[in-house]
Amino acid sequence: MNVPADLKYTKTHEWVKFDGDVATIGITDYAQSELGDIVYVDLPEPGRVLNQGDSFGTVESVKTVSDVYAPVSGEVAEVNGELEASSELMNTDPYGRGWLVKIRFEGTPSELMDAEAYKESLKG
Amino acid sequence: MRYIPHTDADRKEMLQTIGVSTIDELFEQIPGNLRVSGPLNIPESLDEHALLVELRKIGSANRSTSDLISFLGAGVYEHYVPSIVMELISRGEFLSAYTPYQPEVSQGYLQTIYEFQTMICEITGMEVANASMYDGATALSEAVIMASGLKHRSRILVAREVHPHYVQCVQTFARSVECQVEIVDTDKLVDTLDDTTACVAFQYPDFFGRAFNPRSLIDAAHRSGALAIAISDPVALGVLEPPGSFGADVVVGDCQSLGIPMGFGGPHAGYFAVKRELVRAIPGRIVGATHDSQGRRGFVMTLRTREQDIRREKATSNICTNQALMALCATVWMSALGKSGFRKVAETCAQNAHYAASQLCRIPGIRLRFPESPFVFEFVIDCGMNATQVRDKLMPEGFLAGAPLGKWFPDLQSCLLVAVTEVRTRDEIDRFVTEFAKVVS
Amino acid sequence: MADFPLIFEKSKPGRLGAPPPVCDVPGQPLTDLLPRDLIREPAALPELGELEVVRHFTNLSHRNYGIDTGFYPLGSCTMKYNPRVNEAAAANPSFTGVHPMQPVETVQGCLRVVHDLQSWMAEITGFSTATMQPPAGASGELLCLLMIRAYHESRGEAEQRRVVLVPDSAHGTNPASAARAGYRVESIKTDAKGLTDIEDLKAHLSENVAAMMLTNPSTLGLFEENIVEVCELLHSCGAQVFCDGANMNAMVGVTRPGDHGFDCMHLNLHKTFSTPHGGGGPGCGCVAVKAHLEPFLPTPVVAKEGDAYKLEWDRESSVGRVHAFFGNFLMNVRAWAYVRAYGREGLPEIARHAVLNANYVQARIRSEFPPAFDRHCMHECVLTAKPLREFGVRALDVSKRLIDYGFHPPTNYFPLIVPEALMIEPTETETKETLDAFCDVMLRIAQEAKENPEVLHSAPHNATVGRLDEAYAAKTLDVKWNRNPGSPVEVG
Repeated sequence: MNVPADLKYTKTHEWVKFDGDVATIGITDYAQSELGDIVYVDLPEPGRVLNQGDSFGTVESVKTVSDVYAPVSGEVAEVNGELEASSELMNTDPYGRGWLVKIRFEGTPSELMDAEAYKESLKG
Repeated sequence: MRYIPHTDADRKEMLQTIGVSTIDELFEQIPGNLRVSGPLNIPESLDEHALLVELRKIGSANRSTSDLISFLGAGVYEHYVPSIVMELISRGEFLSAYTPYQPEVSQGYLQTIYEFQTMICEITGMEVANASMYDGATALSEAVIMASGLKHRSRILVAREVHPHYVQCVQTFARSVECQVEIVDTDKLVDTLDDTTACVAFQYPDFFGRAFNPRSLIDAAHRSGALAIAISDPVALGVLEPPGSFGADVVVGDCQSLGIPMGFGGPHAGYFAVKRELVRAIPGRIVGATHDSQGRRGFVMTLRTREQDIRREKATSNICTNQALMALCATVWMSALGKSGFRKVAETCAQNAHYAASQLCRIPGIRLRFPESPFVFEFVIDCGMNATQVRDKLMPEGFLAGAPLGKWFPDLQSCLLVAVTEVRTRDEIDRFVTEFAKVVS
Repeated sequence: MADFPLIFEKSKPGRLGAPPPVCDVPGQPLTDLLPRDLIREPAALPELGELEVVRHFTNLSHRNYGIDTGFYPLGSCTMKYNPRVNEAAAANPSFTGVHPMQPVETVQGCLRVVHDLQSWMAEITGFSTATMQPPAGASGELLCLLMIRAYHESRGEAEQRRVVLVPDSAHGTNPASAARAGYRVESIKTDAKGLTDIEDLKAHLSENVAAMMLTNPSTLGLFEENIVEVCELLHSCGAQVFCDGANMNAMVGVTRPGDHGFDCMHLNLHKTFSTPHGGGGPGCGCVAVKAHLEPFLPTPVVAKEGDAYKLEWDRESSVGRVHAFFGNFLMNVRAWAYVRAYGREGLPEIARHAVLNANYVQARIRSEFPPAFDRHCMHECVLTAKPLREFGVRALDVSKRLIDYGFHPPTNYFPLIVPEALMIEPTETETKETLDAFCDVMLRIAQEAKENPEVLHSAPHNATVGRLDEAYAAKTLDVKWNRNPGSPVEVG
């Protein structure tokens, strides 16, 4: 299972990449492999304000649907428009072209795991 | 025992394999005081012959189209059904199958549903149709609830000229999801729309059979940000421009007209058709085309994540099944009649109905209640006397005269809703008119 | 091999199908009858001769599996034999040719059938009366919740009671129906014996609870031994208890939910009472209630006065209508025939043999597919394919391989709380020989899983199509035939 060392992770299998005041968010390799072929993503409008832990969208495979949760608080700055036509990017490139949203975040996010801790949590 | 094939030897061997000595031991989970002790108060068993004799006797207490010439419609119609329809839908592979969860062994059914969806789209002028609903009334109820959810609005406008039973169903189901249903005359709907309205539902042609151009109503709904929901009899859409052509967002109705027996009101099948942009919000099953690893075309139930078994309390509806066998019935009927036959059915209905209306109106004191309104095959006549009495007096003469409207519309006590379909002959219509004249004179 | 053609692909312009009745009234041009702007071009239905239509649907039927084709152990669906006498009974023109809005004196036969069934269903389930109006099980569930809501309203408690409790093993329809009735759903755990966790239930009880929806026997195929206590606990806080009757086939004539303490229940005539599933409907979701819920029954209520049957419309507390007419009436005729075929003496044998068959299958294959809960089951057994996971084989693979051997797969991955669930419901109408053949194949598949798992992964091999690309279907949404091939999505 691919768990890049430079990212932060949540218990609900989102990853976060910090870049200045912008956090890019996606779902992990583990999450995409559990879901199987992803066929549809429902994402928020840019401008929506989220609190850490809010569900901001859903990711659907053929037979399951999962909520995705904001790992940070802030305003949605950008969503990945490419996923509308190519949701499979979340399967093929979960940490790259399969990203979901960018959030202009505020405050210090709590309870995020580093790569080692996330790997550990997958074992349990 | 009937339908239970076990011999004594079977039972003995099976119990031995399980490791118990009697079947009763298998029920030990059930506390003794909860077991049925004596025989149930149910009649004794009948052999097959006696059973059919008994049911024929019960059936003979009905009057039916076997001995009545029907001019009664109001949402359920007597139409011609080619012999092949019942023959084909009675095939055991269809009759005794369940929902096509396993597509590899269900391609037959899945393909018929895909064909059904296509035909319903064609007739209604819509882009997507589901695999069917319980009936027209529940399809409408689902449609208004869908609109409320999509628009985050709770005000539901329903035209007064919608089938009263449909309106009653909407009221039952909309209430518990906190929707307010308002019943408004069709011609006042435009002025009643506002920005809290989730949808406006109207019947086209309306319950009284009147055809009208719904474009201005649909446009007004869209200006208010509401969905426009049309309820249509599919045979009427054999000649009428479909609601989809006027921009309706949702078209629902009942497939009974498409070759399904009246059967005292069921089973029929509702249809549910929408614009493509609404596809993720619709209730019920949808079948889509795909392929296997060898590139062979196949069909599967798709967009399954909307459904109750996956989405549970967040599902678009609690519906599990459709009315697959009845939708198949409609599909075979539409295929058997085909493009020209379907058109011919609708045109003959229209010709027969207009002939009947003109003949009835020759009777002194009888007139069309809405003489200015065009109609296809159903119309309202004012009898000049209590319409229920007219109907009841025609019954002994062998005629089902129509639906008296006073029960639902107090200002129409003297009015009868008359339907004339393609199965009526000129002779039957003439005799009906003759007897009608006697009854009202 | 070429694709099996769609009916549209066999169509030829100008070819005529079955001839509709000839119009013998003086005809007028259509434009004299209707405004021009309302007249359409003929709908593009297919154009085939009658024989071609017969062949099309006959050949499609060959691409479909039914109970008539072979063993169909689909758990929780009760795929028993659909007796043909039921079909003969329901095809009687004096039932099929009745209009639902005829005067009541002319439909006495239909009302007799409905009324008889109402009484029989109430008797079989232990309630005071029943309605046949709901057209399906889910509709019956929802009706029960609407009646429960009306009942709380009548006591001035509707505002406070906003929660419906549902076990974690429940069918998805239960929470979906609760949401449709305007309730919030809370989930109750299952204990180590596979029963409702009484402590967890107690922790959820309050005066905010409107009802609990409980399937008995549960979806695990186990009877709720503590059902009396469960019902008492709910009643003690003013809540109602609904029995999901999906599994009535385990109880007919043996035990009655009304006697367990339930307030109402629904039945699936298409499961327990042998009406055909028809590929997913029409069903019939009869609802039975105790006396305190009777005022809320949907109208019209079918009642008997002297020797005559009547329709009661004026019932001020009724929840209203749940179907345009009287529900799926012709299904009632079939169920009537079924109840009379067995009669009072025969009915208990249904449940007894359904339970015998399920336990036999469980006993025969438990070495490879252990039961989720190690007890005797009721009418279905919930087994797990978990031991095969170490060979990379999932429950779905086992199911697909069964198709190669000529059997319909069991229900997979349900209940959700059992990993790799295989839910097998043989029903009482299967012979020991059929069950043995099925069990032999199951054991053989377990061997294959260990020796040659690839043969399972790529199954089925002999079906009309292989495993289909469901992700492609969900993404492209090709849900109607497109006259212009090349662009699967036709936006109008």
